[in-house]
Amino acid sequence: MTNFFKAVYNLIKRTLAVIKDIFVPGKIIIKDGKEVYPPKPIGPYVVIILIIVVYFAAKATDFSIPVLVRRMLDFKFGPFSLVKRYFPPDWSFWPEIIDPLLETIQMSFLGSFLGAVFALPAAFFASSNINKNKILLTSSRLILSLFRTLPIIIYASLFTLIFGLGAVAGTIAITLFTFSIVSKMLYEKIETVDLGAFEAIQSTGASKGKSFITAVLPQILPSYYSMSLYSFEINIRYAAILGYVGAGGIGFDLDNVMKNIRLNDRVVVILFFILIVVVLIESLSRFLRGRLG
Amino acid sequence: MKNKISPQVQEMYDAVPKVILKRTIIFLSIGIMLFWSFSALEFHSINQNGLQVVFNILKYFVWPDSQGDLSIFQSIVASFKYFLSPSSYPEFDSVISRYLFSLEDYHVPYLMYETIMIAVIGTLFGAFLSIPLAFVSSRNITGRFVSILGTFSITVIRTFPIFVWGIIFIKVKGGPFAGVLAIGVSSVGMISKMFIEAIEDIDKGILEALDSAGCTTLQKIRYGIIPQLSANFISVTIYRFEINVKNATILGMVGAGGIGFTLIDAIGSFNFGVVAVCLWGIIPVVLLIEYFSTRIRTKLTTGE
Repeated sequence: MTNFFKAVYNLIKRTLAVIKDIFVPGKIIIKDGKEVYPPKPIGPYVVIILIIVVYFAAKATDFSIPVLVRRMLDFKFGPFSLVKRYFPPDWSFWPEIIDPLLETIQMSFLGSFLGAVFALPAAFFASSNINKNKILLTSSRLILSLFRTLPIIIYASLFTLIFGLGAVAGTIAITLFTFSIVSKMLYEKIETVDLGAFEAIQSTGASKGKSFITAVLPQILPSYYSMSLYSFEINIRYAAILGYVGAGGIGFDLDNVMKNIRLNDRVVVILFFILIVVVLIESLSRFLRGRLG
Repeated sequence: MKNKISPQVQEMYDAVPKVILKRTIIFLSIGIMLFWSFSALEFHSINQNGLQVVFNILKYFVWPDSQGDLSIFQSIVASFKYFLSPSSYPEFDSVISRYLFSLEDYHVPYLMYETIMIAVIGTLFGAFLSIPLAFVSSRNITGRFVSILGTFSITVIRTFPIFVWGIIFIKVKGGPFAGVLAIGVSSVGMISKMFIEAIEDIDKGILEALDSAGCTTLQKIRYGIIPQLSANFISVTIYRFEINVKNATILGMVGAGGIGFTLIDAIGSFNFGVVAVCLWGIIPVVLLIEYFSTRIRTKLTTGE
């Protein structure tokens, strides 16, 4: 009997030692007598915090795997019941969505173009190595990050109040969004360029703006074009949902056919066309960005 | 007067590639695209009261209680009193800014908590789904055919707008649960794309070295593959979390939980005080998350 207790005691002791080793590893003595301290572990602590957070998150969002599995296997009312409604798709519908699709492309092209154009001067003011004025620098960066905080669709719905329903509100929302992300990427790029030429031109008496145009701009132009193309590429996908708040584009039709049970067989058609446009524009933009280097 | 140019310089000038034609074509095509795009805009529909609306939004954004009888000072005092003990100040029901401080259900802190939690568990769910998908679609692991199939399905997932996923998953369960699933599945697109890039960059030399040292497969995975991928995976997941918080704020528009429903409902009914309160809830949270995510990610990529 005592042997048994001893064994249990030893087991608990060893487990505790292992646990302690995971969280606070002691020094290790190598054969030749040297002492080595292993690096401080953060992994286990992060895992514990993550488990606690996930527990509360699951509680707050009603997330539970059993419900998920049960509903996924429920072919009558679960998500797979939609397959019956969406298939077979009504392909004869496609001529009606060409116009909204083109409008989506137009909105995102115009928005990306205007946003990228406005981003250049903003990046000039927001890069710390060019703009030495602390107040101007901080305020321009603050404004840029404030613009970045809200999702594009919230801007779009606010702009529909101002500009009315339609593509104008969507275009302006895309412009604002592109402006904020391109100028952020651009000022981060400007902060890494070589400023030797910039200072040399300034020393001849040129103004800051002029020396920026002659010395810094040629260095950043390829990445600037590439960023603008990239933002065009992602804007297509954002433009596809702006119609949900009435800001133009294919989203309106998508929302309509998803809500209306009688039109449900058109959902796949619209998604298919969105897929084609997105893939086409992404490969075009990849190709052009590859050429830019 | 003719400038004299030395022949070498002239030669160099002549050697510069002629790009005028190329540039003209590029400028012309951009110009045509712009002209065509402008045709989509119909300015006649601009709201006559547009400026008034802008003014109102800004006014309420600065002070959500602009409409009420209380002054700014009284309103702040009322909000804080309400925050300290909600039951004893029923007369301040009309104070909109108290929604920002009250911890009750369906007020701003609760909604933001729900939004963040949707993003947390959705991102983890998405990352969890992405790992097998990414390994399957990596060219250096499964070969050409399967990887093309995998990347194509990832592209399909990525191009579906997030609302589509939201509406599909409402069939599982309405509310935040649908939001979690929508966020999870829609993040699979980006996360697994980045994971694939990391996996395809694996240095095989290390695996060969471990092989030559006589390691088992499990040891090769533990010491050869996981250290090469973990920093990248964590960094991508954190970056996606940042995006997902923003996505979670809008998922409420299709009834998938979070602050989005309250916000879009308030915008639709011109209730700018509530809009402002919601924005005051979203903006600081997103800024904070962005700040910490950037710091953690730079630490991960540059190594402590």
